[in-house]
Amino acid sequence: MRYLFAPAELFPILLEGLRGLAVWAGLPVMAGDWAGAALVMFGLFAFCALTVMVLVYAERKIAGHMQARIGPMRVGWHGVLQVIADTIKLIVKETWVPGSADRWVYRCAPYVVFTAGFLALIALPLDRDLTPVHLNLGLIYIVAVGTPGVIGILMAGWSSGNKYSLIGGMRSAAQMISYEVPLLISLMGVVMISGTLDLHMIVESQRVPYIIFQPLGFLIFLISAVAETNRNPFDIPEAESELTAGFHTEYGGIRFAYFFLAEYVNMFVLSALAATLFLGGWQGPWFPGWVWFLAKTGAILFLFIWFRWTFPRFRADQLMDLSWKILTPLAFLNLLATGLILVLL
Amino acid sequence: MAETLIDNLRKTFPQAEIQATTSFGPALICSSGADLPEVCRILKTDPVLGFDVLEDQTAVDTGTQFMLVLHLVCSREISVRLTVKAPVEREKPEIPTLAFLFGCADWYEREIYDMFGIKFKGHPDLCRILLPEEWQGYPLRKDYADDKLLKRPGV
Amino acid sequence: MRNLETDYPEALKTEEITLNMGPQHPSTHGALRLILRLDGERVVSARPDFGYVHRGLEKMAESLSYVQYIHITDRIDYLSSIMNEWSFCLAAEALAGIEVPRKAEYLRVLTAELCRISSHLVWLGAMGMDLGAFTPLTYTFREREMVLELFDLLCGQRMTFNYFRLGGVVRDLPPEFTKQTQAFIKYFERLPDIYDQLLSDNPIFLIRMRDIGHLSPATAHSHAVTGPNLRGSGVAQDLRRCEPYSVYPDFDFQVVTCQEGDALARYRVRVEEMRQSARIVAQVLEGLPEGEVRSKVPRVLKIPPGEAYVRVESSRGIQGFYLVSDGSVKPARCRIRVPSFANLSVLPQLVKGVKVADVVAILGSLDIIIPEIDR
Repeated sequence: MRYLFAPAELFPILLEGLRGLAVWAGLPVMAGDWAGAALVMFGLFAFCALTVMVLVYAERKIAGHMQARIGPMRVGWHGVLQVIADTIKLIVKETWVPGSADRWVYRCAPYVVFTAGFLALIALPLDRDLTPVHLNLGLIYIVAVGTPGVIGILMAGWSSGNKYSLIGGMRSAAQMISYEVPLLISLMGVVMISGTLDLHMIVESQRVPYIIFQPLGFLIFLISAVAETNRNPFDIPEAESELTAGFHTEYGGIRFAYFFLAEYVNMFVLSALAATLFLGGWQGPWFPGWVWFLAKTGAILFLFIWFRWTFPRFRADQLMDLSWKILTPLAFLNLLATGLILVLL
Repeated sequence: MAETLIDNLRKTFPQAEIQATTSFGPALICSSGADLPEVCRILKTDPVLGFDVLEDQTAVDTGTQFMLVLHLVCSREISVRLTVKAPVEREKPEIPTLAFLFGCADWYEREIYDMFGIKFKGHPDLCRILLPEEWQGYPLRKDYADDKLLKRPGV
Repeated sequence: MRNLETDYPEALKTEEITLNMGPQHPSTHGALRLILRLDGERVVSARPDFGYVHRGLEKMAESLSYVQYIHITDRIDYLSSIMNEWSFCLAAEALAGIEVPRKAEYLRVLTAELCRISSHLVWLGAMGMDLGAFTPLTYTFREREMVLELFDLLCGQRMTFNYFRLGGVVRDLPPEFTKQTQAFIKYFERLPDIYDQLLSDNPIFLIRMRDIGHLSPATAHSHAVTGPNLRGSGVAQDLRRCEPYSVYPDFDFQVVTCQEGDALARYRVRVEEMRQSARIVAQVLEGLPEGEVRSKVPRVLKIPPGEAYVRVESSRGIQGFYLVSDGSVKPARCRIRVPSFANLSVLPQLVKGVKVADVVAILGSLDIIIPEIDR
């Protein structure tokens, strides 16, 4: 299927133009490449910000209707501009560093967390020919670059000089490391069936969505993904009723906004990964691929939101139990079963 | 029922003054505050009486002295009630603590100390509970004076 | 093999930290400060510190007449203000020897039970909130709003009702009140099932609530714990049944108990109590007698010298007033016995050795209310 604007084809043309522009201006050709890279990053950031805005609005509306209320209504039609108003508020708010904080670590932490989520975004296959960067080890890349996020959270928790933050940071580190294990192992089932780590190839190989072959893997992935993004019922790092706001208690303004962005970007990345690996990614009839991709991602995101507004929260040790005593063995079992079936067939 | 309770009380505490009826069961009035822990211990451990719940403990400033007022009930039968009173001197407001007998006495006594300045000897942690540490005076004493207190128009 | 803990004590040296929970904290339900000593996430000791909203209500009583003080009692436990008014009026009536007409007694029971429902609804929502479930709060507040609207209709107030007077209540039911209340009770009947779906059937909720904050009957008695907290430990003590005041003997209801004594038991008791209260309300509306709602009481009431301690079963336990009269128009001493004060005093024992997250759950399950403790 061909579209009017196939960005994958658009970008080389743009890049040529930029290089030409650089030469014309008497700069080295390299400058054009750098400008092109900057443009891609900017585009991705815009995409990221836009996604998060839509997500936040959707979450508030869905939460509202789940809770017998209506959600934001005042700014714009049905409150659609509320998110923009909030963003402006967060950006123009004064940023300050608490006196007891470790200043530089405190300042860096939100960007570390955000970058980890953001980097994963560039390898997602949004459509057949709409992938910012096509990597043949895309799956490994995505799960690998997401991991340093926990360091940022630890940095935030440690440097804030607040005991709630510290406890939140520690909880978060323990939780994310624990859930990385079942998360990765649950993905391996898909990798074994498709025989590749290239996200494109994985999507291409799905005649029927892999959720049919890997229902358990999908379930484990989904639960681990919710835990990985620190969302309810696994939101113990920022457990509001216990730790006020956990690791970002002392953050405000734009730095808080980056944590916020990171949470939603992570959520988007993991949902997109679930859509790609288990639900057939951009494959689907009638509509363009990216519509299918977004629709499937949206469905998973809705699940995330649904969980958050209906479940109570686990306790830290119960959470660990769930990961190590239930999910991890189940994931291995799933892997074993998949392997056996593949060998026998 | 009420008569047997009063008889039992008379038998157990022959010297104490006993009022037959108040709004809260009979009242047992100790002659001095020093007796109070022993009286309460008997009341609590005696198998017949068994007043083991200290429902409320407070004090009243009668002008000449403080009166410590205890409202006790039976855990077996919540409707069996007893009021225990013990006088505390105004000049030297001291009385032995009950914190080792009743779990809640700890806080009740802190509150009485907070409001009346009655010192409970042997209390594990006697300090103000509702008012700030640096508060001057004891508000529920009748002679408490505070310039910031508003004079209400007469009622 | 070497044991890390015994062979390398220096390597594993840990320190306790002190965590101040509150007075500004989302789950201390008001200005309560818990000073927690923590060993990692485990609580070593807890020390509640309160008094942040102390208003001197007992002192205030000494400068107000009995009638003027009724509306102050609303501020003691703002979620079940009717019970405060009731115990104060009972104490003053006992001192002055005032009779209350039968219809007024019915109206008192009616409002008190509605109040109990609304108070438990707030608690239920807050309990979910403490465990990280946001949605129950909005649901229970929706229903509580209906109760508040009934009260609005009845006495023009939503929170601080000032509905009771010495010798009765201030006015009769407005004409549409009975119908609306019946509609509410009918609607309310199926609600506990909805809450069950949201909370009590939820496995996460169950593992969070079960086997934490175990309160034994002996500890409960030692700390004079009353109300649903005590009944959650299997002690069937309810003043409405054990020492019936007003017209409670006329009504058929169960004293709800649960044997386990943990947070879940206290939760179950309260949810079931809402149903029982709804039953009482329905019976009151059915059997409402005709007659006066207020007996004749002189405008300037001089109460003979004496003292009275009268208590009622409030939403949180036994709530009582100890009034000492010196024969003037004002009480010489007014002592307020509040359930939350004693109920909170048991908290340091309950939270010893649990995780920080459980502190919140246990505190929530005790259903304390700060203005009542601070007075």
